[in-house]
Amino acid sequence: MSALLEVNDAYKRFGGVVAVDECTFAVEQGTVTGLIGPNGSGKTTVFNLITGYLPADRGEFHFDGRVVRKPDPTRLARRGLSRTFQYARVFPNLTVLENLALAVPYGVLSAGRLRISSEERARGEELLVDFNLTGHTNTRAAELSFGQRKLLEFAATLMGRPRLVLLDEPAAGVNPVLVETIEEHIRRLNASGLTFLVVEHDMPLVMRLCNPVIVLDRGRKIAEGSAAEMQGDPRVLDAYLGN
Amino acid sequence: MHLFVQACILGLLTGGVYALMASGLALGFGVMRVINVAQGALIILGAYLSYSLYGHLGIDPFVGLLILTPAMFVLGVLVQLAFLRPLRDEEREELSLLVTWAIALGIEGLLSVAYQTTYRSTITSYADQSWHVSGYYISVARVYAFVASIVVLGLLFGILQLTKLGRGIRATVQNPTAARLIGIDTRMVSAVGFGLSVATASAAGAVYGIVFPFNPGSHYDLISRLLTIVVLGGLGSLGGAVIAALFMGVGESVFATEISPTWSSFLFFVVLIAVLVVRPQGLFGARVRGSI
Amino acid sequence: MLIALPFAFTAPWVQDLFLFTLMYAALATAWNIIGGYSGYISLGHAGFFGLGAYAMGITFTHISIGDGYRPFFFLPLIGVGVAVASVPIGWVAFRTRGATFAIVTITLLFVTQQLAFNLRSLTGGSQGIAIPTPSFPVSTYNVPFYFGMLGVLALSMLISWWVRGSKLGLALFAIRDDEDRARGLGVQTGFAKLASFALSAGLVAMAGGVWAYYLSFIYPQFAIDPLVTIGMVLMTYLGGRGTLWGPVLGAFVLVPAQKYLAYRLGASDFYLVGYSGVFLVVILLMPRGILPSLAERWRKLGLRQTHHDERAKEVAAS
Repeated sequence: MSALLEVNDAYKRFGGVVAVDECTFAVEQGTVTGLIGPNGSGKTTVFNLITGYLPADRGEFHFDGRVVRKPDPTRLARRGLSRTFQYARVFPNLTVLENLALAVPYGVLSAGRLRISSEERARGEELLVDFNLTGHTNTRAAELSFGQRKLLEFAATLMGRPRLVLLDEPAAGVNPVLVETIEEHIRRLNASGLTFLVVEHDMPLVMRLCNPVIVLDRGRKIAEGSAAEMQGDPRVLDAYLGN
Repeated sequence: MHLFVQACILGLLTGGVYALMASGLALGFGVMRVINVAQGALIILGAYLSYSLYGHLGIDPFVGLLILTPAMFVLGVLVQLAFLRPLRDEEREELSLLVTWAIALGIEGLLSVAYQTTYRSTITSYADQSWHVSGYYISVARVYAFVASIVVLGLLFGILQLTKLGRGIRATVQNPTAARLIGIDTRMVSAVGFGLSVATASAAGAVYGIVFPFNPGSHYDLISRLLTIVVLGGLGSLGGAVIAALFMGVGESVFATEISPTWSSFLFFVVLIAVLVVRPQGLFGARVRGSI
Repeated sequence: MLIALPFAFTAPWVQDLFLFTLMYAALATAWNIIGGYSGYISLGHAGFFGLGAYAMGITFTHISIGDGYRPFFFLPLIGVGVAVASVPIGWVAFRTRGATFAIVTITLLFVTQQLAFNLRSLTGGSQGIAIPTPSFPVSTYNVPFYFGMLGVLALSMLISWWVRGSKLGLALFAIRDDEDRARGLGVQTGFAKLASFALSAGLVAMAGGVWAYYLSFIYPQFAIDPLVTIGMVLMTYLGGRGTLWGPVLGAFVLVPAQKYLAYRLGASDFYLVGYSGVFLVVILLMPRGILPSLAERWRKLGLRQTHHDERAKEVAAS
């Protein structure tokens, strides 16, 4: 069975620093795959390479069975690959509903249609109910709290009905109650068939949620397996503790 | 062939001046991540001040440099503190673009009022002399200009590489967050960096004024050329800007001699388009989306 | 009311004032579509104004489109033509962002001016082009031009309003907030930018066409003049960039002010210093412009009133 996402020998260098070094791994459909590693191991860089925010120096990517030549965020989003960012990027001057409506791809010819079509409004409001943000439909995103923004950003990635969602530190900077909420959302969506690749530092969360877990260190994969296996793996401990 | 070499020599000398002018722009971008639209106007301001120093006080422009540069450094720091630092972070990029543009216009306006719009040139006693070296004419003034440019550039590099301040600037250029973490006062560095780029601009202006005629409106033409050079060299690369400057200097000169003088200024425009279409990161720039 | 104006005030200098006010209102509104909505600050838009002006002039010299009102009907063609021509220009320019983009547009402006000076056979070089003056009755000579400009303004506002309410507008505002995130969500940012650029360019060109016909001569340094861009941008920011009426308000404030000062102080390069000063004041103190700042005040007043009411209720209840 071919994986939903395949990264083969990705390589990225910034001046004197090799951030990603012959990195190879795969994400199977239907999983919540964790991507962990000490700081500087290249996790966010790999995200950026996969989604096309940074051009890779070398390497090949496959998504949904097809080769991705020159990854481009817009095209990938339309093909069903979306992502979040570490610091909850939303559009501060747009309302919550507009933030969501924007995330639905439309063809060039329908550029003239109404800002928010009725289908988009319906779907957006559905998501707002799911994420408990209904009171804020017309609030400017700038006025939301950080936690609410994270939820909004998460919800926006779902508007386009993606196949794979890359979550970049979904629990970062967020209170424990909200972490639980986010975890529940991930489980719920995963149960209905959505695949996740999650970069996280919150180890307990990773242990509970992710299977398998891929470990990166200094830009390359050093281990992969279930969460429990990784917990006991000496290579992983080495990487985190340093030598 | 003779004409070609002559053109190359001229181009190289001009390229040196371009290099000095472009370096201020590249430095400003590196430190503040903002392209200073006013750079051209600051150069012209330097040209006028140097012109006046010479015209009214008889101070040779190269000597005048020594007075002008520190003064403009202070001005640069003050401008950064007064107009750029107070901008709110969220719209900083957009607003600093407008602020620098407004400053450029203000400078152009003040200069127009003070000097009118006739073209000027700082014509020194040696302006018309040239050396005759193995069959080639080499203008004395241009050589002095070239040498001065190299010296000032060298000083700039020296400051950046050797002083503690320079290291602070380079660290801030590479990674502002990390720089702040290790205790570098990035706000001061930004102010100083901007001051340096203004000082460089004024030195470049003094030199420029000797070699080319100028009027208050010249800054538009200048900033366009400098942008081409910096884009060609690659945004963020000071060395790249220097190399691109020399290249364009020679290219323009050869083009003017061999093909057509009227359209030689178009060359910059053509190169700009070509770079943007084919390789937006320029020769030595880093290829990061959304960075240009 | 605007329709009645040129008949109410028949003094030519007043009509001229109105005409220029309308023109800048149209220009600012058009500029706002790209500059205000998407945040891509084009500082070379005057180039399109010049293109429109020259298009009008060149058609007069090479094809006789007749006299009187006919040239006005030619305007939409000029608008579409320049809009289409602006697409490849925009495509190259949009390879850059921020200040680099701004300077690229400045470069384009100057190249256009150079072309106007150098392509003598087409543009008449520095001699310019003279357009034969139409045979409108002397007493109402200015009126057709006034309505022509009013028409362009109406069209600009219509298009600006339509863009705001459409998906294109949503995309542009998103680009302004965070272009990379918009791309990551699948928004067609390239198309959005080009479309708004082209619309904006076409409208500006149409204003240029009316202007050329009105003045009946076109010189390169006046038709393609950075001062026009400065006016457009400043008026937009003064009134409130990104709003529908902001640019119009900015024009209605600044054009009369500028004409008045020119009358009092005589035309001089104090213009630039004045513009620069106003610009700095606006950006440092009121970066969102008049309209949004007023709206903000209003909202805060409203909030304070409800706060006040609530407190009053609390006190009454206790």
